Amino acid sequence: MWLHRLRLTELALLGLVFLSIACGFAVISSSAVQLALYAIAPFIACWAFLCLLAPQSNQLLLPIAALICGLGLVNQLQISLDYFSHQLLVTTIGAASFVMVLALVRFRPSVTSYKYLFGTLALALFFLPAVVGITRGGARLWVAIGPVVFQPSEIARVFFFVFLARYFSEHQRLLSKAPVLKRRAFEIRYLGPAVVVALLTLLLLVYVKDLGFSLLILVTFLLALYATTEKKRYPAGGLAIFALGLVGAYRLYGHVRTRIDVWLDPWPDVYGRAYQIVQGLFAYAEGGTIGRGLGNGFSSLLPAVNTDMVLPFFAETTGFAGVAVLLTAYLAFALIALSAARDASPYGRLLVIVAAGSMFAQTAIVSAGTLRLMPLTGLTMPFFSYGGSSLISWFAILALIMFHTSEQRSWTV
Amino acid sequence: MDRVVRNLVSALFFAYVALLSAAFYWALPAARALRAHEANKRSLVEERLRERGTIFSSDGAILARSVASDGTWRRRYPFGSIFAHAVGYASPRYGKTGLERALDSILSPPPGAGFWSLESTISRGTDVRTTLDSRLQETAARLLTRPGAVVALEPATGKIRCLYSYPGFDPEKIDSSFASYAADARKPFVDRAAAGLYTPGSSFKIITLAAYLEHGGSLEDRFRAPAVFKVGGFRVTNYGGTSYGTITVREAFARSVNTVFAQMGLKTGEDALVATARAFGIERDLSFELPFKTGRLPAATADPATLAWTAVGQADLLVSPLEMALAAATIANGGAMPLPTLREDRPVETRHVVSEATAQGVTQAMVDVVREGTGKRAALPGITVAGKTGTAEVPGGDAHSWFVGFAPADNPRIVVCVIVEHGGLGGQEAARIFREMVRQALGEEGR
Repeated sequence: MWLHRLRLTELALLGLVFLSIACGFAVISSSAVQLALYAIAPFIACWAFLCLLAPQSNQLLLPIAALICGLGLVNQLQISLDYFSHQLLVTTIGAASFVMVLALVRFRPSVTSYKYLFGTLALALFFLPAVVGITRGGARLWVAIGPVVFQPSEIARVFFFVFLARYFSEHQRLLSKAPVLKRRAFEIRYLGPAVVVALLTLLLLVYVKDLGFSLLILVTFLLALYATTEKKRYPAGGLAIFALGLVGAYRLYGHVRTRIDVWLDPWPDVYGRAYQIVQGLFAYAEGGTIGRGLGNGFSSLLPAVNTDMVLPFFAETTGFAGVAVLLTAYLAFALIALSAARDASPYGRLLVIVAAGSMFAQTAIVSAGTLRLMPLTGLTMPFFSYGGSSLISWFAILALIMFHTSEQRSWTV
Repeated sequence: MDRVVRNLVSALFFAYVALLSAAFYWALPAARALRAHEANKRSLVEERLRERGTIFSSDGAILARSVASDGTWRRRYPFGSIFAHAVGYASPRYGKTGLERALDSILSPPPGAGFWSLESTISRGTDVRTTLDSRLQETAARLLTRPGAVVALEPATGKIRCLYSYPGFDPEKIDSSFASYAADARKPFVDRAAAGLYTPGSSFKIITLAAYLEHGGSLEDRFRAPAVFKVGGFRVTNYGGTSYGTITVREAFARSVNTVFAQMGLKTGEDALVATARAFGIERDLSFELPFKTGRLPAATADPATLAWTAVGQADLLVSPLEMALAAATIANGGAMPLPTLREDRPVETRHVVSEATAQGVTQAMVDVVREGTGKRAALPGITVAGKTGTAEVPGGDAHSWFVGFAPADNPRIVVCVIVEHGGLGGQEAARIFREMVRQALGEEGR
């Protein structure tokens, strides 16, 4: 029994991740093993605490997160040693937040029942930058306290997920059983939140000036609503309202118009407004099938190379193959999380659906932006992009997800 | 909730496939066009990782070289703006111009890079020696302080010793100051020497005289030289309204008498004059290393008035300083035009333009210009200088000041062509610059 508590599958997989990222570092650096050890150490710490605090949780999720994070570290080292060191530091802090959140939900599970506190906090943090924020790259997502610049929305994300999962799991019966025809009041009342949140995200779009961020909040909310009610008309209606609002915002706000115009046709303005998107496409093209090789990318040509444009840069050095590996890792994470949360409580299961779904949605939105499938947005790729608050909050969410998962017994979902 | 999760999984798969399809599309089918796009600076940046060859002047000075800094190679131009147009620049952002562009395949051969190649494909480019003379170019830069150009070349070989255009720009500051250079109303990017087109004025009389002599005329033919000559209802006038009575062609050339040249032009005929001008290289393609502009001759259906004005170098006529220098080089070279080049290793090539007798006749007339005509300021002690002034009337300001000639007249070693925009009389400012250029060019080699 104690052997099972050691989570040997997880440890072995982390060993594999260590080997693969060591290979990656070896191409760029002469001290590959040392760097790979630094990179894997935070995850080994997570593993140790999982053995103590959540020995039954799924053993595949942490290695996948470690792989994504390790590839991210390799990618940062390609750009500069400074970025790499910072990312390594933040990964270590992230692992600490993982352990803290894990301990909190293990020993004080009731903490998550303060749902309205979390909801209010999330809302306040979402709108904080709109009030006291600073603008970077056209988006108002940052707040500065002294020398520390962070994105409150990244911290808000954790509270938002918990709030959604708590609120909807507790109101599931009422929400899903609301009569369709006889008592319209209920229908409107419970359609209400969808409408309100869709409008709130449009407000975010106007004040925070980031299309991807508002879309992500909306998608996450609609995901929770849909998972609870199982009614497709809620997400459909919510997205329709957002789309209509987007048309309005396109006419009213220059920054929205710019993003959409250069998405539809970037070629007339390749040195101006469409510079970023076009440079991203050049990077994909340069990468081809297997890329130019690690360390051979033109990081100086890509604006926001370590955040928004992190995927094109990774593609330039590792090619389509690298993109496929990375996106497959994200897909695998979401599928395994969804599958491994089958036996959790309604709250736990909903939390995993919301968190894992939102994580993939965020990856998809930012990737699709650089691939010109939708307008370019300023989101990070979870665990992969350079970032402080973002990476730390995703570690916290990883802890929440893993706590509600269990060993894989079958591959059905 | 299971149904929800199943639908969610389908949605995730759909998004995954869409993303991978798009990534595939940009990485493979669309890649060729994207790599060749002009806004894609990868090949230029990649080039900074390799050392370009050095560009030397003919006297061994370094005009451009690569210097390592922070692991990349930066291009340095020790002469600043002096060689800006001839040597050009190689910028990762704004591309290449001048010799940096023309000789790019030598200075920086394309790499054979590849993912799988293990050996280093980074190799140094080859050095290039140009025909430009750093001291002559510096002299031109010192003397020409107003917009204009100075061209100097060896008549026997076509080797260009000086190709200077003012105003210029600092090739090392291209990346930081490109926009302000581009916005400058004086147009510092324009290479006035090879790509600037000007009304030639009286300097064109070299070609008119050559055409006249080539078609049966003689230097001793006599013409009436009134102050005003009427043709087809238009008037051709002499500078300053002077009347000269009856004078020879030789005298008319030395004093730049328009009314005589109008009559010579009419006598030679339009076809012969245009054909000769074209043979001299005006309006004709040259196989020159740098971008250049060909001049403009009047349309074939020109009336007598246009022909008369063309013969004195006005009307719609346009030539570049390089073309004018080549015309003088043709005379200096006994009627054979040398093809211009900036490369020391290029074989000499000449084209027959006019007979040696004609060339000798024009040379004599050009010697008279400096000895006793409008070009006295170009004279140098101990050297027979041949030249021709030009004062090109242009709208909006003083006339352009031209001087074109060569020395020594009996054994020409250097041809110089000078234009000073709005410089007034060609016999003054332009002649002075010409004289100093010749002095510098012939100075050390003895007289």
